[in-house]
Amino acid sequence: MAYIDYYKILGLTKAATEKELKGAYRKLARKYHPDLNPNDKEANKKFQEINEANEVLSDPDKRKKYDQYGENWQHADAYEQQKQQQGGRQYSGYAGGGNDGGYNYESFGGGGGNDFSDYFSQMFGSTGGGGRQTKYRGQDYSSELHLNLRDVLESQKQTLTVNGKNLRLTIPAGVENGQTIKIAGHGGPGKNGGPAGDLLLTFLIKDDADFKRDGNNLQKTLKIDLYTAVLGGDTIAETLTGKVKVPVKAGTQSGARVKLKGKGMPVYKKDGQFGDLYISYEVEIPTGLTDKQRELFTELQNLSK
Amino acid sequence: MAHQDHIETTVFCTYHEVDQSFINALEENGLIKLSVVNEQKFIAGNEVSELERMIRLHHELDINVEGIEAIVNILQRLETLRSENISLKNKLRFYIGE
Repeated sequence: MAYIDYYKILGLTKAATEKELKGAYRKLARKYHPDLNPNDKEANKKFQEINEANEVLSDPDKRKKYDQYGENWQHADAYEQQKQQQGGRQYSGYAGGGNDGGYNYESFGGGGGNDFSDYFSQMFGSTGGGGRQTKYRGQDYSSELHLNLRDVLESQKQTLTVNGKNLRLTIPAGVENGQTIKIAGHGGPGKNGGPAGDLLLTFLIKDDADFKRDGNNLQKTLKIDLYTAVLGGDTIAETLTGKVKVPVKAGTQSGARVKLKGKGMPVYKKDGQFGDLYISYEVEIPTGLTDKQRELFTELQNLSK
Repeated sequence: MAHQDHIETTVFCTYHEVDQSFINALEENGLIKLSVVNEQKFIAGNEVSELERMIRLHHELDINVEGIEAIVNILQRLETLRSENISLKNKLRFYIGE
């Protein structure tokens, strides 16, 4: 736990007036406020640092204590005790061993419910009371939900555990990889009666071995034998919802595509609407020919000359 | 109107310690929609979180209604760009793989 230079955080010096302090705080708060920087953990952390600095420096008593002990905060209690015992004798030459080791905000953002650094808690107590009781919104929590492509074919209800609480939510069909939904009020608790933060849930959807997703459409490669490709016929294609018979035109080339309308992904938040499935044919060239087959292919080759 | 999904603005204002005139100003600027039933104004439940955000911007950052309107528009544009970015990343993944 290291000394935190609250003046430095606000870009001020010890000589800053109340007006300068207020101005610096407002300026930085407008830059890093979580509502202006959604999903930005760094900005959120910075905002908490700024708030903590303002909490101390805008309160005359806290500022006095901070200015008096500052870097020597570890010895503040001992000093106060000694001062009382000595009947208020001045220790003007006192210089404790507080070290200036930079910032340590490890307690921030951990979801532990304490918005202040260890340094602040040690010096002023964990509640931070005394000053103006501004309502602060709770911290937004971010979480990821890993799903398979087939999991999002239909809307489904899932129960998640967020900070020990069970949360039942509906995952809408057709949700995209990387898409984030906001669940209002399920983030960190607010401060001084402020509202709770939100839970930002990002869906990470794994690719399927057989289907590739392109928005609402799917793509699949289907192997067909040479004879069906040349002469035409039918083949069976597997879709995400079952098998379908697909006609193959005579003279189909490798890479030719057919569209199976409505056999793609469900369209997000549009019930009953689906994308399409594109099938790319891959013509398989027969190998291990029998003598008879080789003879017939040779005959075909000669006919084609 | 499903009554349980709407909150009376006077109740909302008391809870959030905000003046009714501020809510009215947001409505006049098209930032929120209020419903009127028996001369009482109601805010829809699904708009509350957005309204709370505007109140925070006003209270915590001293931003007036015009400023809030500008911020809301920019954040909406940011969200659109973010969605487009996700969609393009997925498209790229489709063509070049992981």
